[in-house]
Amino acid sequence: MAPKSATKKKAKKKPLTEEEKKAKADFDALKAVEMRKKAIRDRKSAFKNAMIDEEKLSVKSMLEIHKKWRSILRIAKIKEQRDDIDWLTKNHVRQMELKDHIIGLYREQLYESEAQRRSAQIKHLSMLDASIDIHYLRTAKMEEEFQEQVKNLEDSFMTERKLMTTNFSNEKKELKDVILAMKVQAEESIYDRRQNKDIEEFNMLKITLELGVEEIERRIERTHKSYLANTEATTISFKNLVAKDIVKSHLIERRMRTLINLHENISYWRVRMVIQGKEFNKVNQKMKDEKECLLNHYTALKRLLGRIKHHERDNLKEVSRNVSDAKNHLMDKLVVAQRVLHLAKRANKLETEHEKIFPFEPLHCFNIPTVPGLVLDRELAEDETTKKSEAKMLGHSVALLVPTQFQVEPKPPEVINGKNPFHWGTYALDENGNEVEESHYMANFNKRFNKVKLDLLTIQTERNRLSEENSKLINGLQKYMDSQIMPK
Amino acid sequence: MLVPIKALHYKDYPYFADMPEEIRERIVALLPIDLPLDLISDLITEESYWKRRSLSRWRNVDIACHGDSWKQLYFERNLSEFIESYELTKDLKKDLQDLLRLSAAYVHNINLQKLPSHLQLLLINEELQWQVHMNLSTLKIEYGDPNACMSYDIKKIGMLNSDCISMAAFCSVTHTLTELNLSSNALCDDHVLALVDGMVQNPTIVNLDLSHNMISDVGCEHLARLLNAKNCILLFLNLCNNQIKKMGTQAIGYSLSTNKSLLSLNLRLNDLGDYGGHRVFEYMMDNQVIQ
Repeated sequence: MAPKSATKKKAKKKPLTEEEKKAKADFDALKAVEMRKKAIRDRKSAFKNAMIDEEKLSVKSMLEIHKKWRSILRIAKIKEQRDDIDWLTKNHVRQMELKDHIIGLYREQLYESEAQRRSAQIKHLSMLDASIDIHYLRTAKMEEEFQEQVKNLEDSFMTERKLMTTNFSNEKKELKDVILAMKVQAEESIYDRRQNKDIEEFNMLKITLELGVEEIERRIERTHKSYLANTEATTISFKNLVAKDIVKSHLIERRMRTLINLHENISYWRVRMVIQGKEFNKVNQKMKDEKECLLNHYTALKRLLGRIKHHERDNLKEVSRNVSDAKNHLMDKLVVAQRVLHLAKRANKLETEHEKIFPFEPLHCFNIPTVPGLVLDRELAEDETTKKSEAKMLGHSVALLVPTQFQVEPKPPEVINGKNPFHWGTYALDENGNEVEESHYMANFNKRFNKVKLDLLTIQTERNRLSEENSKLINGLQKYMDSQIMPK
Repeated sequence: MLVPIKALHYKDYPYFADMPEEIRERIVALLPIDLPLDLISDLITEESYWKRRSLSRWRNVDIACHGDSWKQLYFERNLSEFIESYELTKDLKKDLQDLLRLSAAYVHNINLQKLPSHLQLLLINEELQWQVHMNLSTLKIEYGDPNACMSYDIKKIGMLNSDCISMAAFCSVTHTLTELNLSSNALCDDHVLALVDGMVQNPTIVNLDLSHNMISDVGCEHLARLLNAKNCILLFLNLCNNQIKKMGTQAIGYSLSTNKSLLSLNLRLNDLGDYGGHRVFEYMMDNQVIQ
């Protein structure tokens, strides 16, 4: 029943106005937009989740891949290392065998060398034994000889001892006999002794007196000798001093002479110093004057240089002005030339066939028919005056070939004061204004060219000569300056 | 006047007959030194001639080692050099035999520093015994290679088993040999066994030198057997610089207790140790003979 009510309600609804329709449409549009946005958002979130899941899966799969790859590499590495181990073991076994063989060789060599050493040792020991035996024999022999010598010495000692004892006993006997004899003599001499005693006392006193005299004599002699010795010493010292005095006087004389010489030298050098001082002062004054002159000259040259600079600046200005004028003139000429060209083009269009074939034949102008009713003389004269004014402006005599097509008979050119006022072609004038023949053009040009060339050469030679002279003068001045400086 | 002529033609007329001593001496002084030995060995007895001949051949000689006789010196050294240079490859056997027969009367000592031919000693004994009076009393053989320097070859040094056997055979038959020197021959225990077997039957050797060899304890036991023999007359035994250790010392020391002949025993440069020395001196206390 509800839908029926909704439809009834709908039937009862009023028809919407335009605005309402519009609003509804806007609302619908907005709704649709919102729906779309929502859908986009939902899709975005779904994509994000999918991405996250995908990332997780990818990480997991990458880990799996790495794991598998590692296991593969491990297996390959193990295999490689097993191969290496096999090769190393074989190599090691080979080296061990080689080394064992070498060790065997070394062992054999060692045994041989040991045997050699042993045999050498045996020889050495046998030699030692032999030498020990020899030494033993030698020592035994020496001991025998020693014992013999000892025995000989003992025998000789014993014989000498016996001799000495017998001699001693004999001498003892003799001495005993002598003593007995002396005792007997001694008793006899007592009596004589008393007598001799007095004589002895007398002699003693005599002796003492004589001794005293002798002593005094000796003392006198000693003093005399000492006096003589002193005098001798003083005379010797006096002589030495005299000799020293002579030597020293000679020395003093020599030194005095050297002193005098030195004084003379000093005075001489003082005088020389004064004279040279004066000379050097003069030279210094001269140098100062020269310096001032050079300074003045320098200032004058500088002023001249300044003036020349000003002059040259003015010249440059004028030249630049002339250049600009020339440029303007040239531009005008260019305009004129362009006009000429334009006219020439026009003239080409108006050319007859004869003119096309013989463009520079002036005689055909005589055959050119004239146009009746056209006053050309006036026009020609007018053209000539304008052309002359233009030629004067430009500075050279250039004339245009003016066709005389409108004249029946061409008139010969009038000679005015020896000059042709009208020319069919280009022509040249010399310095005096006279026309120069065409055959003389090159000769005149060569003459002028040679003249200019000769002038140039002379100027160059003159320049070289002047530069050489200048360098010579500079060298001379330098030398003079050096000579002035050197004596100082 | 005839002296120089006789001296010049001595080869043709070697007999002196009844010449006086002075003339004979003068002739002998002029005799050349290259006369054949078979001619002059019995005829010339003057020491001056043999001295001249010896000094011309060898520089460094001492007659004290050769019985103070120049003739003996010459014959002994000549024979020693011939035997040392003897080569089995060359047919020199006849020369050797002739030389041995000539030298038999004058040779008392044979000193060989090398024997490259490893000659059978019985041959020497046979030839020397050809003479009625064989005088060989001292034999010193060294199977070595003197002056080898850089060309040292271990195979050339040392005694072989065959040499030991021939030596043993020689020792068993000889009646004049008193001194046997086999030092520096690289003798080992087997060699010693062979030697002892021969020496046990020898009645004459009193001086045995086995120094500078490689005898060890087993060899010492064999030597002890020799010392224990009833007919052992060994007076001097030299065993220095061997490889005898305590067991060998004990064996030798034990033999000292029964041996009555040994005067001198040299055990220098062996590895006896304290035990070996103790045993030797212990046994020596029982021996009254050894000095």
